[in-house]
This record gives sequence, C-alpha cells and structure tokens, in this order.
Amino acid sequence: MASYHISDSQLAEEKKWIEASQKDPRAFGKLYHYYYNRIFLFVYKRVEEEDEAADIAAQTFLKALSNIGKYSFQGVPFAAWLYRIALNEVNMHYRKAKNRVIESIEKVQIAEMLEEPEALFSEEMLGRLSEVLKKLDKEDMQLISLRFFEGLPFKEAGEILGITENNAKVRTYRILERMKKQFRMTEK
Amino acid sequence: MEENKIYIDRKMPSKEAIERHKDFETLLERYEAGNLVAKTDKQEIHKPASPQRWYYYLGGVAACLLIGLFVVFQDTFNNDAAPQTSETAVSPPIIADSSLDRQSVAQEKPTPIVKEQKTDNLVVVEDTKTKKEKATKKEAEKVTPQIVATPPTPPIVDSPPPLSEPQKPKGKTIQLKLENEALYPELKAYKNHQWEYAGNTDELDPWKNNIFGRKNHWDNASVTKEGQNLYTITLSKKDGTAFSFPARIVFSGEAYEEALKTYHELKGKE
Repeated sequence: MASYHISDSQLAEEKKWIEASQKDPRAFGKLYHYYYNRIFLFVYKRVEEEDEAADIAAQTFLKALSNIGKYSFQGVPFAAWLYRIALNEVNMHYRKAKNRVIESIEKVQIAEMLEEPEALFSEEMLGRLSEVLKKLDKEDMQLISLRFFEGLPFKEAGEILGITENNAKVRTYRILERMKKQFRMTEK
Repeated sequence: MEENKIYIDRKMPSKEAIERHKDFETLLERYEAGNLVAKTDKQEIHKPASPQRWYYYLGGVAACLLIGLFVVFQDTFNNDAAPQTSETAVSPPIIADSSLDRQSVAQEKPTPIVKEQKTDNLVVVEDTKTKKEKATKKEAEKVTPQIVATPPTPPIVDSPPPLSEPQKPKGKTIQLKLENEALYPELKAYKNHQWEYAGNTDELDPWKNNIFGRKNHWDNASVTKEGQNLYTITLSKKDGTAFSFPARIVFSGEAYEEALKTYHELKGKE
C-alpha cells in the first residue's frame, strides 16, 4: 500500500496549487473544488444534519485559506491538513459533549475492519459491534475511523492526528484487539 | 460519560446536494472581510468616523466661543440695571463641556438645582426649579432642558450597558475582529459574534456595493456604537476613500445558542 492515498504526480500538482494560492487567494479555488465533496462527507459522517456539515465544511476551508500563507509543503497530501482542520472544527462543534462522537459507518467497512466476510455479519452482530463502538474513547474512535472508515493509510491518519505512522499502527492494533475482546464478551 | 452515536449504512447526501453547499465566491468574500481588523483604540474612537461627526465638533467649538464671550462680558451683564431680566438670560443654548456648563449656570443663577443625565455621547442638563418659579420665567423655560452635545467619548461607562438579546443573521455576515473589545463592554459577555448590515437602503448596503469584493482592499476599519445593538462600521483606504454603514451584532449556529444562554443567565441575575 502506498504511504499516502494520492500519487506522487498528484502531490506535485497539489504543490503548484498551494503555491499559487499563497500568492493569490483566488487560486485556492482549485483546492476548494477538488476537496470540497470529500471534506463535506467527512464532516457529514460526524454530525447530525446536512446544514451543520455545510457550516463546518465552509469554516474548514475558510481557516485553510486564512492560513495557507503559513502552510509549508512537506510532501504530505493537502487533504491531511484539511482533515485535521475539519476534525478540529467538528470537535469544537461538539465540545460540550467532550467524550461523545458521531460516526457513520458502512457495513462493508466494519467487515473489513474485523477481517470478516460481510455476508457473515448478521444484524445481531452489527448491533453488538455498534455497542462496542459506542463505548470507544474519542481518540480511539477517530483513529479507527480515519484508518478503516475513511480508508486512509496509517501514515496519513497519523499526520491528521499528530502521531507517527508507527504509533498509529500500534494503537490501531491495540484498539482492535480490545474491540474484538469486548465483541466476544457481548455474545449471548 | 455519554456514548458515541453510531450510524450504520447511513444515507449520504447526493452529489447534487453537496454541490448546492459549494460556494467559493462566498468563501472569498468571507476571507476578504475577515482580513479586516478594526482598530478601535481610544484615540481611534475620538477620530471623526463620519461626516456627521463634524457637526459635534463645530457645535462644541461654537459653544466654547459663546462661553468665552459670556465669561469675558459677565461683569458688563451684571452691572446692567436690569436684574430681573438677567435671570432670563441663562446659559447659552449649546455648551460643549458639562463642567463648564455647571460653572456657567452657577455663576448666573446661584440657586437652581441642576440635574445631569449622562448617555453615551450626550449630557442632558435639566433645570429642576419649582413650577412656580418657572411660570414666572417663561423665557428661561424656553431654553431648558438643554441637550448639550459633547465630543464623542469612548463607550466606557461605570456600569455595563444593557445586554441586547442575541439575534440570528438574516443575511450575509461579516467577521470583524475588534482589537480592543474592552471598549465595548456590552460585547464582553458574548463570544464569536458577527456583524450584519443593519440598514434598509441599498446605498449603504456593503454587499450591494460590492465593498468586500476581491479587488476592494481596505486598510482600516473602525466601529462606533450608535445605540442598542447598532453600530457604524467605517472602512477606509489610505487614499482617503471611506465607506460607512450601519451594522448590528448577530450570532450563527452554536454561537447563537451560547449567546442566548448567556443572555438569559445575565437577565435572570438582574
């Protein structure tokens, strides 16, 4: 698996867009149009309403544009920076509920996470897994979510959460082990 | 501890639905507007922000001249052989400084009690003489109560002004960072406020005049309080170009909920 979710040529193209945006805010339009849908959906999966997602997505891009001058390209996809801003914005949005997060997951992603065929997942098992996920810590949930539900490589998930690739791998492994244990415990 | 909320196979918005939220031009406008930083130092507030302000200064200067003349010729007035009529010639109609006003009233008429009511930029001086006295001096009554304009002062008052109930925006909003929020104690209780055009004519509407367009770069912005949740925002360029418009404070999304909560809490304490 590649270190990042985009190719080197795409990274080079992004670099050009970033440099242009640093000179002229209007050039930020390319990055905006390229990433808007992805960021919108990323936010939407973590909030209740479509309008909330639109507000947070707009705020994410506004912050990105306002700080693009300080952005230093280091070979990391621009999306990682956007995801990080978006995640902060979502956290701020729900800062009252400090330990509560919202996640929207597809059944197939759960199967991939637990390395089980999707067909074997009954409604009862999904319900049990949902209960396990509900009890995950915020940080653990964000890591699992970025890795499995957003499908990001460990390196990129680590960039977003401010941890190393190795740390992301180790933590993910531990979280999954814990989840599997709890999943088995809930079996009737 | 609250539990996480998990949606499984939740329906995602369609591509068309997401496209409807996409608006790069508005993002640019918000970015341009957000780049403006209001300089609201004490000195800035004393600076005339709009042409109307000059009337205050002209009035103040004229009042000072009148007081000066009155003080210089006071002896002449007192030596005139008409003591009854001298009482009707009370203080001049416009006085620039409230301390001078008190002084002049005291010099002319030793007995009247003068009551002052201070507002933001106005000092209302009210003569509280008895009705009997007033009835005998109708001429004097014509010149009281007087509204005495003082030069604009910073809106710092002993007790905080009444809080306005938070409002949601009706249209586009502007993010304007105040460098010195201490000058606006009524904003202290609230967080994350935004500004919205509060006028009703297109001529002053910054959006209709494309004030925040990409090509319009403003060097300075100042905010002046005009009334209960009513301010004048003046944008200016180094070449002297300026644009003023009325604005009010509004709150969006969660900031509104928080502001409303704060408002009810503080109101409850009153």
